[in-house]
Amino acid sequence: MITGGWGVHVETGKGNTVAGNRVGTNAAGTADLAGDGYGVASARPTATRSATT
Amino acid sequence: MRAFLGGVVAATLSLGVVADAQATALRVVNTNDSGLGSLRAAVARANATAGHDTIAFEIPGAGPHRITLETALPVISDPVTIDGLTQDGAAPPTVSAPATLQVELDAGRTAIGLDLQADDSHLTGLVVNGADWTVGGCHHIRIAGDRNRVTASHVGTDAAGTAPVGANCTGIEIAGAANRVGGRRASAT
Repeated sequence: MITGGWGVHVETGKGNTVAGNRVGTNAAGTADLAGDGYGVASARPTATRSATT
Repeated sequence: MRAFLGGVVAATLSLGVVADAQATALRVVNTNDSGLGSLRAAVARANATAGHDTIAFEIPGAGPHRITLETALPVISDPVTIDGLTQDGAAPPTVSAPATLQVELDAGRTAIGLDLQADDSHLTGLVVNGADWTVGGCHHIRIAGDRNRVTASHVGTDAAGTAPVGANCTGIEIAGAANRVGGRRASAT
């Protein structure tokens, strides 16, 4: 699980994958721990398959 | 994992003298910021050793064990697996339960907890938090290489994954290609 101002930020680079995560929540996926920004933000092609955002 | 051949204890003795020609299995055996048996020593040794090294954890006592940085760790510049699931009491996530993690890396108000500039590395079973937004451009983990993976970890939270720690920083910043974040798979391959 990942949280932060932005959970994951892809600044550059192709073919990155974000999958099977809980982003912006607690480990159980039951509470919001997100910062003010995006869960996943990408400026480049990125596969995103997160379970919970 | 206790059968690891190389220890950071022994490895540190030669740090800065001669880098081994072969990949090395290293162990972290305390939560010290630096010195014999520390994560910092293991990262430095892994950087100095050609090949894909492995860093395991055998910190005595009940976890979770927090490593608080006093200064930034060395940039990870050579392929490595840092495997927090080797610590006693740790377990990977299952379909129904999050990971139980026993190794927490607190960036200690530095800008970046783990700065991964190598390719083909794997961070797994780690709690990484505590990067400091007041120093600017803060990321709990930064990945600048290619084909790296981060799995079975909690980033930007406490060890239990119940509260944010360093919520103003980016969890994982990526500036490379073909990296993968997430997944239950814990193996190093």
